[in-house]
Amino acid sequence: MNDFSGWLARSVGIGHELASKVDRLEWYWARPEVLFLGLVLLVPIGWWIARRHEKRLPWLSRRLRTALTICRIAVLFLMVFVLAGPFVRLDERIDEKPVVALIVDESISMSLPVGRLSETTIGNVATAVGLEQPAKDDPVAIAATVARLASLTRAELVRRVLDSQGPTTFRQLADRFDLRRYTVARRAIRIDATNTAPSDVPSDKPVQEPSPDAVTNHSDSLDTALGSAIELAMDDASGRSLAAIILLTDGRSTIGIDPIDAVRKAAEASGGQPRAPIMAVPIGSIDLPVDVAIVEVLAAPEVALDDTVSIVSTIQSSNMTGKKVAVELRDVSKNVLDTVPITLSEGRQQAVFSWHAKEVGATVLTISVVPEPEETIHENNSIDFPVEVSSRKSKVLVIDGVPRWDLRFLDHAIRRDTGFEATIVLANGFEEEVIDGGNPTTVGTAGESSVKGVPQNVDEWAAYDLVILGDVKASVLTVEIQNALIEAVEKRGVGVVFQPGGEHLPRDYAHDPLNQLFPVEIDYSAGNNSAAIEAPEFKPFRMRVTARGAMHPAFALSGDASRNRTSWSEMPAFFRAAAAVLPKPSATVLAEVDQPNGRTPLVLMAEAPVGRGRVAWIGTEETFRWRRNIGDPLFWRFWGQALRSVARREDRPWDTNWLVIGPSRCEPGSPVFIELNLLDAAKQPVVAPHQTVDIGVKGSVETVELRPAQRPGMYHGTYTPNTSGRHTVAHLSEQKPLTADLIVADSTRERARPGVDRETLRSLADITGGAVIEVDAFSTIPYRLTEQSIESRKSLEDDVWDTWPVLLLLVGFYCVDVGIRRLSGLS
Amino acid sequence: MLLHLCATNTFAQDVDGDARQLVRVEAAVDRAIEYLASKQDPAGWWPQGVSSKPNTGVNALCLLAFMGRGHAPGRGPYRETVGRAVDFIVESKQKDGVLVRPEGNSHGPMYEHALATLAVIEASGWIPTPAIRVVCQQAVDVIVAAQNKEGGWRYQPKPSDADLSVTVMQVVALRAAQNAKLKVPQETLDNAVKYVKSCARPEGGFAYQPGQGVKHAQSAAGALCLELLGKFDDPDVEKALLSLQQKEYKPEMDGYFHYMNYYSMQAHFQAGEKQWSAWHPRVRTFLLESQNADGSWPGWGEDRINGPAKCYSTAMAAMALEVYMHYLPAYQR
Repeated sequence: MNDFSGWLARSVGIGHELASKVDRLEWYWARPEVLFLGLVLLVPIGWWIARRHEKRLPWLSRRLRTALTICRIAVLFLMVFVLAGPFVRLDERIDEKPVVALIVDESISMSLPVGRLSETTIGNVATAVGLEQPAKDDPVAIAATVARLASLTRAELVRRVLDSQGPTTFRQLADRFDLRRYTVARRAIRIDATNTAPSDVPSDKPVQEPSPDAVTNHSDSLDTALGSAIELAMDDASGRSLAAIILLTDGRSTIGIDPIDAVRKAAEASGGQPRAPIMAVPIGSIDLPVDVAIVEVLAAPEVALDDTVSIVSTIQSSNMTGKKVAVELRDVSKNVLDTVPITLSEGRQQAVFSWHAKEVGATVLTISVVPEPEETIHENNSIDFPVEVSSRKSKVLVIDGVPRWDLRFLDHAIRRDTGFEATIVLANGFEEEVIDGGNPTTVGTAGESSVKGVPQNVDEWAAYDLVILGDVKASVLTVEIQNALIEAVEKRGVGVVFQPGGEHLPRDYAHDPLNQLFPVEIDYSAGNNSAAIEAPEFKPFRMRVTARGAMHPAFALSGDASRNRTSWSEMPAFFRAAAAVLPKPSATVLAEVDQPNGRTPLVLMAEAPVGRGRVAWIGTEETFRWRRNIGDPLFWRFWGQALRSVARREDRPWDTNWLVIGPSRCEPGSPVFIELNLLDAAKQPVVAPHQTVDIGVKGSVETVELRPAQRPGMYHGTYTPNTSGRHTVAHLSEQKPLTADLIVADSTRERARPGVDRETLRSLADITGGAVIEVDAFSTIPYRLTEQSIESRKSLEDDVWDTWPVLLLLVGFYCVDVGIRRLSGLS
Repeated sequence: MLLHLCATNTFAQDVDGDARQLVRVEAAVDRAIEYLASKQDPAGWWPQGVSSKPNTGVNALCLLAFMGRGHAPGRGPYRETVGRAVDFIVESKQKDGVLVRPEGNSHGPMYEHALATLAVIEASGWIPTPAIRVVCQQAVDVIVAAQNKEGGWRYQPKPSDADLSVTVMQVVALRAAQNAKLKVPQETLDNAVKYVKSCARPEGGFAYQPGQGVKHAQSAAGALCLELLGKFDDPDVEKALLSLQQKEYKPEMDGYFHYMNYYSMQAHFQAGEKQWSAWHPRVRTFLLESQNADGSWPGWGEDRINGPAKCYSTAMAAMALEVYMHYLPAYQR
């Protein structure tokens, strides 16, 4: 019946939501006095109409006269009806429950053993996971229970807790809260099917258990995005009260925003108040497992032949204090090259190896520590890392105006890197100086037509593999010198890195040939014609690495592109950037920053091939800020890798065929960049709509299409490996096949630090006013939450008079009236 | 290779714990910077107790504290504070190139001159004008000319006798000058090594002047001098650092406690991870716990340099903590 009424209500034009609750609708009049007065007046007027028709139309049959009278009275009635403004109203009382988000960690670290739990709480924990509680005076039973729980994985412990306590706890939560469930691995996923609007959540709805398929988090389990999961739960509950976020996790967050930053950001957005208390349930023992792990290796990705370089490895151990182990450096054939004996102590230690680069080409080295029998985790005992050995040192010329801070740090770092042979020229000061090996020599004075140390012709420029041009006056680089540099880049393959400043470069070169070498378009009018843009004092620029930039060698940190992107995008902010408003058509944007005025982002870093060389743009002179709290590692990692990627390379000359994969080591799911340089037998660039490479791993072969790049004969493409293992990338041309190796290895981040990060969980709880709750107290969570439902009222109204039936009646009566008159010969 | 700078043997270090402490260090330095900004005179100087008139030495220390936190001239929220401070020092230049104010000196203007030279050289990286480079080179030339025949420096800008306390400030300034590609004769540096070595004590540590007893502040200064002069492996460096590490760390250990902290943090940092790990936690913990609510630090034995405001002690303590931040080029290892 209700369905029919609802259909009828909808049919006459009442809103859909009101029509669906037609049995609860109430009828109202907007102007009841008009209705009353109209009906009262309608009686005498109706009588008067009837009388008038009787007198004036006596010749008309009584039936037609009555019909005419009825029509006219009906029209008047409808007018009274319309003027009275009838409408229907639905008054609803809404009980809006606060949201509770439950986040369950499903990353691979949850497959680690729970570890030894305290004997004092073992009885409660046993009960919590559905095991028989051992008698307090039975040490054998207690020991057996401890051992049994210790052998469970963290994920099994979570499952048992949810099986044992979940139904009751969830029912209690669902009575008072809108319970939403999430799982987190590399991504956070909401798994409850009831993704419904608040008003549609009836209080008596049973808790819906997710299906087994829905529970599984199919995102890569080699990482935990705990901070992102917290952000997702908070975003999902936007506009609602969020009573709590319950975390069932070991606390390790290996990707995305840091969990503490996530709650702080949310608090800032809420005027300083925490968005929701976090109830953290640590999964795993307080005690660290017996373990030694290689957690980090710092090594230069490229070195020169015959260099002896240091490789720094960080070793972390727990519960193995005093144990003597051998940390080994192995080559690609797993031969031991060097060994550092270490007596382990709790925490992290470093071992430094010396490695002599004896052969040109790419190789893979391994730092490992032999697994001990008592260790619980063996996957974290080694790390592979690629090293490329070039045939000679790159010759670098740095020309800058003044010794900016970036230059002072770059100067030290580049001279310490034995892969480079650097010459520095300061060209804007009161005297021009050339510095070789750190000893400045006065060589001329400003205003001279040529500055010693600055190349004057193509051959002099081409003597260098790379030129770094800083904030240099145009008077130092005359048009002839600029043209010579351009020719050296286009025809001799010299690389150029521009690092503009606020005074001369790029401003002085707006109409000079050097402008065509910039990989970006400059807004020379920006910043009062300084061609630089200042950030507001309290809203500095933040670098944002692009998807392509995350694959670029300059930004390579780990084998995971998105992780690289996040790491670099979290670098300290800075205050000035060159006004590079667009990339040149041939350029690839590697990083950008938002403009203060909200216009399109500025190009902060870009790279482009120019003829046989490459040019790069680094649009800030504040990269020294990347030294914050760590010094050189990230600063020189970026600069060293960026310079090497732009410099002319003997192993990749323009006039030979080559195939390069970058990075050459990555994790599954992380894209890599493929670059192919292809010439025919006559050394002419091969021009085609596309080229292909075959990528083989474990017996299967996949074909990837490469598209033409900006330089004839060069082709680019990307490939995202899904499985780990050594991939062979091959281009089968008519000439000699080109091959390159890609090592795809699972991340060990999740298992590198196997302990439960209780400190982070405690901080999360403290910051948000929540609590750390042990697994045996999981069922107490509903009693800890005090937030109440918010009662609100909602009224919906819809007019009834402006519906099509009313119009139909009016038209109908009018037509009958006119019809009778016409048929009767009346005017 | 860059990584050659890392220790060549194994050592233990609580890297995670350090990361958490760095957040506290940054917050403490930010409070100190706010305190200093609030105390700056509109003319660009900071109050002190050394003299009745503005003193370029204390000014330089306060300016270095800002730059050590990344507040460079012309950039960021303190650009005007920093700009005024630079202008004040540059305008203080005397005809002979000495960066001091008349009547604004302590008993030894070479203290002020060396600190002012260091600060202006660091600031010059953000001020691309020939004029400031001329000021820097002239200031360096003053230091070079004031070196005595033993290789040390004393209070006045002319060769006479020498002491390690004045000498260390000149050496740091010369090192910054080298970083900034200013002209520094190698002979000056070689002679400085000789003087510093003459202050070393056989039992470990350095004396204020040759033949005198060990002073902790001078041990830090002497070790830093030798490191900045390239003598990282000199046995006197390790002996001096060990002599410091073996003492109970407290404000009473030296009458110039802030001075000692400033140089000892840099000396240990320059010595590599092993020495650094053995020293910095105690300084960090002490400074974090002793900071006043307003962001300043007590003057302890150097309160007379402070005067009513605590700008000297606050700048020194902030700079000791800023070694963690790696921003100032003069601090780079």
